[in-house]
Amino acid sequence: MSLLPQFLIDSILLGGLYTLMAIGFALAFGVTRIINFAHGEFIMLGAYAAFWLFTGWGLDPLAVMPAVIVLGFACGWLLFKAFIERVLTAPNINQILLTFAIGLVIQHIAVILWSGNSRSTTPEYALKALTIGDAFIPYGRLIGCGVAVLLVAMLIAWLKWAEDGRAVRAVAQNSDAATLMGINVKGIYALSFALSSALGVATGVVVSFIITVTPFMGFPMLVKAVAIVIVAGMGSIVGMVVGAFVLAFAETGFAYYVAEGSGWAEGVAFVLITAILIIRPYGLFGDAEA
Amino acid sequence: MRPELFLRWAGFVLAIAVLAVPFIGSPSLADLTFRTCTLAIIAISWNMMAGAGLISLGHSGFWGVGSYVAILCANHFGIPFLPSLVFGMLGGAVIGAGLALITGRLRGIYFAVATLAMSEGLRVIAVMLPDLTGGAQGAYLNSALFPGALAVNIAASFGAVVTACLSWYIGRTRYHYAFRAMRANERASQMLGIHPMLYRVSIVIVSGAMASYAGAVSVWYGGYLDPGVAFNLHITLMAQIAPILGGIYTLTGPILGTLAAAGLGEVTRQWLGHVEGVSLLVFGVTLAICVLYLPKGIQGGVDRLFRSVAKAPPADDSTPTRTTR
Amino acid sequence: MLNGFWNLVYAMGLGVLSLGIGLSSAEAQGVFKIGAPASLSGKYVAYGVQAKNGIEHALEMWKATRGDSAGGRKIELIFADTQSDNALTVSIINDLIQTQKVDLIIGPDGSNVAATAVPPWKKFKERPIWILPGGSSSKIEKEVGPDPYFFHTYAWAYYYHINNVDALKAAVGTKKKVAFVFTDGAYGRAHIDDARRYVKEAGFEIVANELVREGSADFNSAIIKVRATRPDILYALMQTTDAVQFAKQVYTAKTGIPYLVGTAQAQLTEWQQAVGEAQNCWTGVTTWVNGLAYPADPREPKLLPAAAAWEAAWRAKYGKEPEFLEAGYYVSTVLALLAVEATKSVDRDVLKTWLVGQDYKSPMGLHSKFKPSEITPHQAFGEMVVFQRVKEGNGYVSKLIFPKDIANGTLQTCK
Repeated sequence: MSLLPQFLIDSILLGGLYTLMAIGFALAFGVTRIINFAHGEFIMLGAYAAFWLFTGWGLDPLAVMPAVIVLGFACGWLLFKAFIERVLTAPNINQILLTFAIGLVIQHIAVILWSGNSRSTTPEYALKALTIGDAFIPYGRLIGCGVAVLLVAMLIAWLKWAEDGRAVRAVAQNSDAATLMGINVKGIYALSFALSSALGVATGVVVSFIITVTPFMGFPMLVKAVAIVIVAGMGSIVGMVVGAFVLAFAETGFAYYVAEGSGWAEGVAFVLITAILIIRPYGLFGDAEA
Repeated sequence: MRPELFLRWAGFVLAIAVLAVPFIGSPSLADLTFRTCTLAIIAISWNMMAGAGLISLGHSGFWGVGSYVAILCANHFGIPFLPSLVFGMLGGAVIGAGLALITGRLRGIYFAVATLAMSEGLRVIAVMLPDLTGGAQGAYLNSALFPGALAVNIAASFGAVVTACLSWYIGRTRYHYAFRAMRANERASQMLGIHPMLYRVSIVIVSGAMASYAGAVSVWYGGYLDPGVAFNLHITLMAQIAPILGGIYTLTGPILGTLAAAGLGEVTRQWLGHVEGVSLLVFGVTLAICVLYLPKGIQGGVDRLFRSVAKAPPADDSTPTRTTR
Repeated sequence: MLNGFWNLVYAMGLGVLSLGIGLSSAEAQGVFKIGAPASLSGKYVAYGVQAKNGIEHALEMWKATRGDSAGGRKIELIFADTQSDNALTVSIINDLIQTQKVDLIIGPDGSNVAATAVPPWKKFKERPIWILPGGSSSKIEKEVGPDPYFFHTYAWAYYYHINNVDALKAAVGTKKKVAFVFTDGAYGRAHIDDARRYVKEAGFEIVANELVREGSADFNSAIIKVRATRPDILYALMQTTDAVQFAKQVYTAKTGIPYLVGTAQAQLTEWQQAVGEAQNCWTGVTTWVNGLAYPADPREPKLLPAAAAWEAAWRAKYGKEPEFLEAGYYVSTVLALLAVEATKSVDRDVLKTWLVGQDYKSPMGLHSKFKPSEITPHQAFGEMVVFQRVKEGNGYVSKLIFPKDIANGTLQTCK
């Protein structure tokens, strides 16, 4: 029995999952250069929101997603206004530390409120799969992939055609010139941060039925997101998707075809990242901007 | 007294205190000093690289290499305490050289991600080679070789003092200006005749060796090592938190920050450590406050105070020619 | 200005000094000091909280039945948060033994943290009694060695597998194929060698040894490769967090493997709630599970009540089912207090002799007697039970399948 069909399916589904993890970060960092090391915690909050609504009121995660997204947007906006705005022009390291500290605080508040126990949501479709011969496509992950495609498409469309979206790109290219064009730069930064939080929260809702939910789940996802966005190059959402799939294929390939490969897979990911950075220092799709 | 002279005296007194504590301090004070010294070493080491514009997100990689080289020397070759520390430093230097050479011209966040890749890659290697490293289950250092708590504590204190002196010395040489130029704009500094590769490699080697020393001493202190402990994210974090708290790029910054961070950590642990999740929470909150209100760290705050006093107008403006010094 | 800087150094120095002075409080006469290192923050916080609950409940029960003192001494409990950190654990053990001069240590939790505590404890000639209701790695056992002051009130890794294998042998015979899936973390690595050894010795055929990465987002590659070998038994060795995702992915993959064997996770309510339907037919092995019919001890019916009564009291106080760590820490603390009460002493050799000689019935098991294990001379609660999660009505229950004398079910295949 060939492993190839399942390998392809698993790689594509994992690529979708990684895209979800990276998309919020790609918007914040890739486009507007805001380094948000609390991004993983937004994913975690989204996952817990979905979990409590599911466990408490039996609400399906997908059904609550729009409401949770709006909540995530609001929280992101508040966070930006309260804290992030003040370090916008500070050196990178300050942004990293501040958002990391915020992430640490959120993690431990989650521990105090909800304990460190492992959780998961179990809607009907999360445990079913579509069978094709010997291979199968788990519905939960397929939905995750679908949501990823939807969010990416919406994001690219918004950036390309919506008034605010184009304003975001203008600010990313040259914030002084954007001001001269009459764009409220502060507002745009707040908008993109809030949107990135909303995307993170949406990711959380979806992964709540795919992977295990704990207060500490955010940071490994953040690391993956950072790696993907850097490798892809800044500003390129399409590049981010390509990066996510490249990473997914490499990891899954190792897991399937190399003995003890799953253990080495993570290391391979980082070798890949280093290699790409050496060959193309600004990432696969990035340009040489500062 | 002029500020530099004051600082020098303060530093001297601190160094004497740190070297004396292993001999005359109580055991818990000695333990606290040990952890503070290893933190100081890694904070100064991180700050040195940051001073050259190289932000490291993978400093735990150097620490882990130092720890593993030391424990391998002891367990597999029976090498005693002090020589194993030397080998640990060599390990860190080699990894540092490799990192600097491979990452070539990478800067800023790209370099940072490469360092992260390095430390994660090393951790995966440590996990996947259990026959060599003990793997995820961990390895115990051969207790027969243990040189005594006093020796280990002195090694840490000594390392901290030497590291501080080294960073002070580098700050006085022209290399300091080269690094500052590189940090501001590496391409422009090239035009000034500074060969970036040479400086980059040398600073990463020195920084890496220091951090590995801290890791090596640590494994002798604890007697147990596994990849999670050796390549702990917490180490990378503290290596950054301390210099930033104290004042990044400055000489005294990492030291002040280390004292503040260690003090804060102890206080929150002692007083709040029996309630779950709280001690790290308080740490996070404090860090956030410091970043928001003390962006140049404690040293920056002190400088501001100093400057605002120096700028205060003299008591009587109208007396024209009287010199008051 | 400069004064500001000097003041800072002064403040720091004073702070450190006062800490040192405060910590080195001389030992008071007539006090029984218990040192309890626990991971109350950081990644092992889930275990640390259970440890704390168990110890605190034991003290509360003691106060209710015996009052504030044990053996005429005031009871002083010192919690120390390890923050799930290695160097800090070393410092804490040093502090508890040298500065606080505790008479007994209970804890710490979290496999790596427990492993870290061994060298600093062993360094002291005058080390206090150490009761460890956790830590199953055989590396810990080897490093502690045949130490007379070490009391292990938890199962070593090999106990899990001896019991699992015996249960399987009794239920299905040994002409079956076994496929292992284990994580590359401390848990998986600690268990795989022992598991393989006992499975092989019993005569089973091992057809797969799949390694997966701890925290991986996708275990499918291992599941597919295992499925290809058509095993009868899937034997999974992983921590709870991974076990949640793994169980769900195994269920979704519809592997058709008749028997799913796990270790501790199947009994944890958190796992059961997280995986839902996917828990069906998983077996688990544990020292303790809810609903065991252990009777009360006739000499200490209030402190060591019947398991059912103990669980009910726990539910009333904490609003949830107790976990095995909580039970283990509870019983260990009670034993320590009983030791001091009976001997009216905190001398470690006196306490050791008493602990070695005692034998109680407890909510943890029928015998609290310490017996030698492979290396440790004092091992209690190594007897384990094997159970299976089966559907009953709208939910799931644990049916005990081994040992036969307390079993209330037989091993079912997964349909």
